[in-house]
Amino acid sequence: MTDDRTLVRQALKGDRKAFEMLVRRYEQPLLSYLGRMTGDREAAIDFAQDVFLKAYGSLRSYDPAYGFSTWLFKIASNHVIDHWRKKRLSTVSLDQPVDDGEGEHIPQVPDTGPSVVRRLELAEVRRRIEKALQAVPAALRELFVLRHVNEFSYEEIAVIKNLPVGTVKNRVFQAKELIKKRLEGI
Amino acid sequence: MTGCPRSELLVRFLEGDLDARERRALEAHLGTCPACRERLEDWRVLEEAASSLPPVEVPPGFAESVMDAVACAEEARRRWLGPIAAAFSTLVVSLLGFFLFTGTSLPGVLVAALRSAGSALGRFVPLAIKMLKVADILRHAVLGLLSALAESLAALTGTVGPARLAFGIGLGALLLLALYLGAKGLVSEGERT
Repeated sequence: MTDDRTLVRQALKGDRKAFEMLVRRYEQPLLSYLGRMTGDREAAIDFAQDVFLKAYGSLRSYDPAYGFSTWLFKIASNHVIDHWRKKRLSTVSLDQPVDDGEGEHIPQVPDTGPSVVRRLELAEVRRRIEKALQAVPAALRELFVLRHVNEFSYEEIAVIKNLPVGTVKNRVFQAKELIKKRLEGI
Repeated sequence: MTGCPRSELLVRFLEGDLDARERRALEAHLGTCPACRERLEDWRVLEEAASSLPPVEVPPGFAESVMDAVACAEEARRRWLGPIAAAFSTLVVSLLGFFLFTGTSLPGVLVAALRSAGSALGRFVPLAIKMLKVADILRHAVLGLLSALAESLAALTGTVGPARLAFGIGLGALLLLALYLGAKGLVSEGERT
């Protein structure tokens, strides 16, 4: 299988088939990310097309020192943020404490009580996670999705979001705690 | 380890993110605390489910539609490049024509044109800044007019074609330039006499 960097080089020489291969390689991960970020499949499809178009238009700015997927998801992340800004939807600043609607979230409290999670089938847990995910603040949800759906490493997410690795780890954990809380409440 | 560990430590344990000392301490605690073993199991189930969420299905023909959009974008870019190249060619041909008719050397024409353009720019830039400020205030009012103008230009492009339009613009620019140079020449001649 031809690697991403070679395909980018070929696409830059005008080989559209090479770019199409990149589209086919990343259409599903990108849609899975955008689907969870928008919560709307049709919007996710439109966004994915916009992201690929932007990527094609700025292919010359791609630095082969980084992974193509990292670069592509950076474009996707910025696209989502731009959309939210235009729509004037509130996003949670990564520097602010996260409020889950039940007061300030304090991740340091050990969880107690009987487990709901273990009594459920795995498929049911997945279904509940999907539902709970939409209630998680977008800034945390994004990191959770990049980590668990797109399987990026913490270091790669740090590059995509331009954040310290420690912050990414902490935020992903906060997202998990929020999900777990909601999961047990559903 | 004093007391039960925080959930974050359990998650990091599952991710293999603890150093040897932290891991040993946690394992020792888990060996003696059934409640924490249950908490760990909860997190394990959650991690497993989170890491196996189903992908969003790609609609059939998605890649083709992206490539069609890419082709359209390239076509639009080419549509702009054509008129720009045509305008540039028109200007070069016109300068050559000017040289042939007036006998003025081409470098002379270019230098004069550049000087004139530079001097005009020197006067124009400060004025433009002021005008921009005014334009910003009047932006809302002018927006409708600009929109109508853009529509008319698009209609004109559709009728006469972008290359002819660019030729016309280039010719117009050259005519203005020739008028300006001619007027300047007359003034300097008048000063001499």
